[in-house]
Amino acid sequence: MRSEPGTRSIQLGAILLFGSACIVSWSYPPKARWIPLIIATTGLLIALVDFFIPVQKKEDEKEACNALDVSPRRELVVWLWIGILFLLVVSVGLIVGSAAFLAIFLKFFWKEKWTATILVSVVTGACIYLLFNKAFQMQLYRGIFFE
Amino acid sequence: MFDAWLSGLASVFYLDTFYLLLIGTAIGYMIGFIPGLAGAFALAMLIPFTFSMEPGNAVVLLLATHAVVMTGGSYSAILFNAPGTGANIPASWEGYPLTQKGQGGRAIAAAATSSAIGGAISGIVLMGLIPVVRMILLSFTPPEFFMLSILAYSFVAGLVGKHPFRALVAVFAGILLSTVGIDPVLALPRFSLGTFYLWEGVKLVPLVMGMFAVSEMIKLAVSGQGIVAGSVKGGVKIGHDVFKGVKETFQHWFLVLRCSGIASIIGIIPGLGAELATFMCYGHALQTSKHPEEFGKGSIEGIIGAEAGNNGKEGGSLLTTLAFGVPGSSSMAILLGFFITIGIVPSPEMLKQNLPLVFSMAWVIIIANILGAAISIFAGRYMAWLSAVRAPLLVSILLVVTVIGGAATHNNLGDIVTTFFFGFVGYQMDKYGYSKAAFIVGFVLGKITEKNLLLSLQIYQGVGFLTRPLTLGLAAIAIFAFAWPFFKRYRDKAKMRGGTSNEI
Amino acid sequence: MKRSRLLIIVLLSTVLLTGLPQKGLSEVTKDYFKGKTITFLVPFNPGGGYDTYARLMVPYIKKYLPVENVIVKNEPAGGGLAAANILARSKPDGKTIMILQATAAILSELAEVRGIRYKSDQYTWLCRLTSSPVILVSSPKSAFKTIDDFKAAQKEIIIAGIGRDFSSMASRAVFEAFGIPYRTVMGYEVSSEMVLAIIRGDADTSAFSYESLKPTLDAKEIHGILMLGEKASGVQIPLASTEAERLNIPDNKKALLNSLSKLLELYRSVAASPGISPALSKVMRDAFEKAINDPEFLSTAKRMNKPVDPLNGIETQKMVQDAVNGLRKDPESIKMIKSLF
Repeated sequence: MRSEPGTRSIQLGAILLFGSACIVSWSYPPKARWIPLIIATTGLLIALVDFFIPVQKKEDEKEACNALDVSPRRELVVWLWIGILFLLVVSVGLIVGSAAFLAIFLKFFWKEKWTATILVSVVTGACIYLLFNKAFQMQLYRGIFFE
Repeated sequence: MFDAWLSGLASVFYLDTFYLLLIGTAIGYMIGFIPGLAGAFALAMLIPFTFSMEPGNAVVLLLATHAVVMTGGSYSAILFNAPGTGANIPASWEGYPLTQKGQGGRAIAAAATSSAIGGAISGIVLMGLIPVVRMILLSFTPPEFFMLSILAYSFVAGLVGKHPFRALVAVFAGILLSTVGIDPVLALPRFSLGTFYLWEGVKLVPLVMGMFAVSEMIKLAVSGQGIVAGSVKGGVKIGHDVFKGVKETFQHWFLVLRCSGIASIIGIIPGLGAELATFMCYGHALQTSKHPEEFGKGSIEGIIGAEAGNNGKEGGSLLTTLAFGVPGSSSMAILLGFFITIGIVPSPEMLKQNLPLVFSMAWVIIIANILGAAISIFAGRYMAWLSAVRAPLLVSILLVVTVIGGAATHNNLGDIVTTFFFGFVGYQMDKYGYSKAAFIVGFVLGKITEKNLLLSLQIYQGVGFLTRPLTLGLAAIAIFAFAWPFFKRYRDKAKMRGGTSNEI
Repeated sequence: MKRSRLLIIVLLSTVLLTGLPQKGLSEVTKDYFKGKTITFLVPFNPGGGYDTYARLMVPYIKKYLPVENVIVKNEPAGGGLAAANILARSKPDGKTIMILQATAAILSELAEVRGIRYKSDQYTWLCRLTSSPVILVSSPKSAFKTIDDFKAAQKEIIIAGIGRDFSSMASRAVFEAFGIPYRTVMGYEVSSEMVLAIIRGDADTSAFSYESLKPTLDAKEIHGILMLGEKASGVQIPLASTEAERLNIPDNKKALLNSLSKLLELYRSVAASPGISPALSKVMRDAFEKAINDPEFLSTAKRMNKPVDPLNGIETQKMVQDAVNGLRKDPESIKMIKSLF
């Protein structure tokens, strides 16, 4: 379980977030800058304190980190699938993208049988289509090529 | 006034009106159930259908739909950890662990019952406060709203989880995120990253859906688990404990009452939102609970408090909208537009002249809430088995549904990106112990605090507004509320020490 | 000649004769829209006034244009700027139209607000839906009953505003014209909040569209001081132009007030993409004129308290053109408009 380096990077990320917000707010005209600046500065201070407080014991850190009991590899694989879902949805739209995703996700990640996969993907896609296009009379996002 | 009250009630029971009440309740419940779709969506979707309806009937349909959206939302929150709306998040925190232990029916019933009671109380509040609403709205000015938002932070201070510093980071990150958008005073876009999309700020629905629903689905995919842990499936008849849930809600009647009260106040103040109402009531339930250690693991009190909160704000919201035309939320804005369209122009005069109509609106809210609860309870017995559906199928479908839910309201590429981005952020926040609740509270409260602070400063040309009597009163309450947990801890420690020394 | 060359000539001629885009031809047949879908952009969120007007129009557009479907698309990003830009760069095939707060759109363009990528006079204006005068108000409990009271006040007058909204802009324009010192309180989110603020006394005044404030006026909750735009029948509020004459305001400032009043006549209008062929424009404008004059449309709109003051496309286009050209020739007014933004 990589809690230490993971935690460190998140803490650094927080510092970076608030720090860049400080810099950007400073670039706004004087009247507009002070509210974001106050928030960003306070956040930065707290993030710095959080970073520099020594992490007492490994157990404390483990308690803080609620990481699931899985290998980092598994996490990464799931994130790759999420990326695929994102690309599909953005390119061919919410309905087609989701249906397509379901088909390949169920087959190649969960290792389900083709019959179950195709059935779920088609039925879910049909239900979503019926619900939004027919019942709600609204078009869901159709993908970057069609908008 | 009593006859207006009675005729208001009677008018709801005309056949075609009642029929629409039923339809509205069903529609609202279903829309609430689908993660991401909330009240505003339901109303916007129904409005075109109302063009050809009798105005009175249309009002019934719209109000009934709106009243039960969050009841439906609690259902999917508890069973699938996919909150139907942002206001059902605490229900997912407490209800879902109960589902995992096979007690889904109990959780659903408690949520439904407290929602119904909260909603009913809000209807009564609507009726009761009509004479004083004008006075309330004219006394509560930006300085008071500002102080109230500060007070709100104290209510949710109890939700920080194990790491106060990280929770603070989360709060400020949320507040920072709320500043994205157009500066309220100078109309300059802030942090817009060069896009028009961010001029309006980060939208709440994709943010909440991504951070709370999508991230949970991702967690399930990573862990590979189903929802109901395998060991419980066999012997327990899921849904069997439904009436236990109902009974427990009544046992905690005082909590329900208090949370409905808090929620009503939040409802009357424009701009605070259902999410805030829920979190404040949930926080209150936590602070006043005799078993705070249960929270996060399946506390029925948490569900009861939270759900009474989100339905309890309806009456107050409607009252403000009708009394002055100040919509407290996007759903109210849509309803307001609709009311003006049918000739109901909000004003205290209108309220006085149309008492039967206003009362019938209150009755619609009350009855729809009760019906919604009934749907939950009866469906609970039979639908709880859904959560036992095989993990791969359920998780995958839910993942896709929550993504669509995040994006469906406005159908924008930006919303889709937001949903995914905060899905990622939410997952990491959970992993490293940064409180998502604190973040969302910061986000929602940030806007209100900033707006009212800036307005106060401009109106009073300085910090003079702090000397207003009402503001000072609220400030005192806020200080007390912040100090109370520390005081309580000190007193408990002292008691323990005192106790041991007295033991013989 | 060689066979291959002949082949090429034949192929090219065929392509040229059959592949010519229809809009280049002088005849656009009535069946042009058959099977097509029109996207009706609304630069505000669903449920609002503009959204309602658009949805009300849909069945009547379909009645007079044989179009397959008209889909309302809400695009509120950037306060409506994004939608206006989208319309500006959409294809001139008649499939994209938009309902606009034309007054604000034109003014923002003239003020060269950052991010604007459209030119209002280049849109193909299809019709005007409503004109709406704007009134400057005050609380009945305050000492301000006429514009003279504002002028005579010892302190700065407080104007409430939303941000870059039309209300505060119009108020400030009036105050600048009449030479009255003021300061602003900005940050409200909806006009009803501003009305409440004025009633409470947090602010002294602001400007609102007459149609939206009429009920509050009738209920005597708010007092009308001045009206910008054409006089509505039966209304007792003095016109800005009349008061300007009475108080002898310098000509350049009067010109600004007049331009604003003229622009308010375009309040809610519908426009299509720039560059649409004359033949196609005629087909669309005729259909829209019939749609907004359809008695059923008018009665439904009236029933829903959405007044309609129809004007056909050609006149609307002319009005826009005149307004824009007139203001462009007046650099002083443009300077004042820019300062108001």
